Amino acid sequence: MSQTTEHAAFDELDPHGIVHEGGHHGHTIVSWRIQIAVLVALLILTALTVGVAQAEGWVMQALDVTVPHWVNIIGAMVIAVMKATLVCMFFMQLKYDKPLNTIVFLFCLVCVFLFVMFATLDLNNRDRILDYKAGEIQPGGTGARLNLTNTDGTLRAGVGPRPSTGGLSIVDYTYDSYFAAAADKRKFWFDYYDTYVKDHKTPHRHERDADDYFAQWAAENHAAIAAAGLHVHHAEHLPDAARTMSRHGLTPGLFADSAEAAHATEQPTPEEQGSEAPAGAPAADPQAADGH
Amino acid sequence: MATLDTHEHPVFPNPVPKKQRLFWKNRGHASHYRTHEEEFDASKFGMWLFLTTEVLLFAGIFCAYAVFRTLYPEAWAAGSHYLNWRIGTLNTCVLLISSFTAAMSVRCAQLDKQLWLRFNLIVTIVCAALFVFIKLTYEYIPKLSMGKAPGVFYDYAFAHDPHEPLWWGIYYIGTGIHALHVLIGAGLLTWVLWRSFRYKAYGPTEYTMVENSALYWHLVDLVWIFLFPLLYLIH
Repeated sequence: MSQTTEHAAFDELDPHGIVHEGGHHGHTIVSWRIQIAVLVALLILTALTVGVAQAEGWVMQALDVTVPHWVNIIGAMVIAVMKATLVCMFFMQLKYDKPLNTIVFLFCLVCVFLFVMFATLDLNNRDRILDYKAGEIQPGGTGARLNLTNTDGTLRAGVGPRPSTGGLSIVDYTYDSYFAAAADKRKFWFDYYDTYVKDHKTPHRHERDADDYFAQWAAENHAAIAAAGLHVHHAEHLPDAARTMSRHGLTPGLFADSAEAAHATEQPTPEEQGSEAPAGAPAADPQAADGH
Repeated sequence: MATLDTHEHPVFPNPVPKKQRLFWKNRGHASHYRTHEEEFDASKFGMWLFLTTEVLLFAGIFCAYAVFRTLYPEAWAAGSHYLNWRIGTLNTCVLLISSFTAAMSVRCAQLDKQLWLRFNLIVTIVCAALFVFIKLTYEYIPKLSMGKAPGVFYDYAFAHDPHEPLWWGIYYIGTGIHALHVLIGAGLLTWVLWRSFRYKAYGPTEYTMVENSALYWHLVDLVWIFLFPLLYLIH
């Protein structure tokens, strides 16, 4: 049927026959009889698929019956797949070829199958509602699943207490939750105002700070400092980072050629301490002296 | 004497006449392959990888066909009745015969039958031209002149279904890209034929280009095997 060129004799210097069989020893030369037979089979299958399509129309007219739609599609596609298989195996010689080529091609066809299948599957089932899901439909849902209670007594790892909407719909429940949280926030800021702002005359905070996490954090710190009896409006009780101070003179003598800086390094005066205190001169730093 | 940097084939003076260099018995292999065999296998594997991308290209068209068929079955049923199955069958037979001759041209190259190699290539190319001729003369031109055009160009007065322009869009894109592949494949085979005539470039140890061009041509045939029933027969 098919012939292969003969292998050369064993060569010690080339045990795997890489070099000396320079010819295409592994390549099959497919017999012309096979190719002719494949061509004839392909032509017959073509005639068959046309015949099936024609016969279907004739049967439907002559016998006045309705052939299901899928018969037409499945019949034509089965014959097309048979023809394609013949072409791939014999004309494209995948039957005689290295299996890698077949594997690559089949993998591609699997991808094509997935591609087309999921697209059509989605379309075909889009308007279908499963019976067990076809219950009452209500905008926002019924909340029925959230109100289920764990009645079987089993432990479910990693699952906390089930949320309950208390019989409300999810939308109503979320609505109420939102306003409850907003009321909490509002209450916090009213208390803040009554406790720290109204009596102590601290600077007014803009209302938008209420949404700021860091503003709340600062407010809590504020409360804690006040509770400790510290006077927050005195600059010496704030941490260093909160104060703006000149960084000139971090390295002693760095700006020695600057008369001003040299003067500050040599003789820090009490007026200068607030704004231009040289950190590089510890003895001159009032905070270091206080033990901060 | 200057030599070519090859391992296998006879060493020629430089410059070597092209006619002598491209003669199949004188062809070596690139120096990064151990043998001509390896080079052939690598080349063919690369061709198969390319063919998978071609299949995926047409898969997009087939998927669009399936989706729109599901959405507008009436338009698709009407559409397939506009096409003449006799023309489609004729073109299928033309392509199948050309695919056979393409396979035979590989066989002839393997057996060093130079005249039959050229004969088979010529038949394949003539079939390609015939396919495009039939497509234009009996399908594209009459249909377009009747207004059966894709999308916004649709101007046919006797439509059965409002979604028929969509059917013609799929029809022209599917068969048009396929026809483009027919032309490209015919171009490749013509180049192979030219090199066979001019240099006797293909023989038992050197037929990579014949094989890969034939593979491309078989893919064209393969796509048509599915396009034909989907467009002409299913209704």
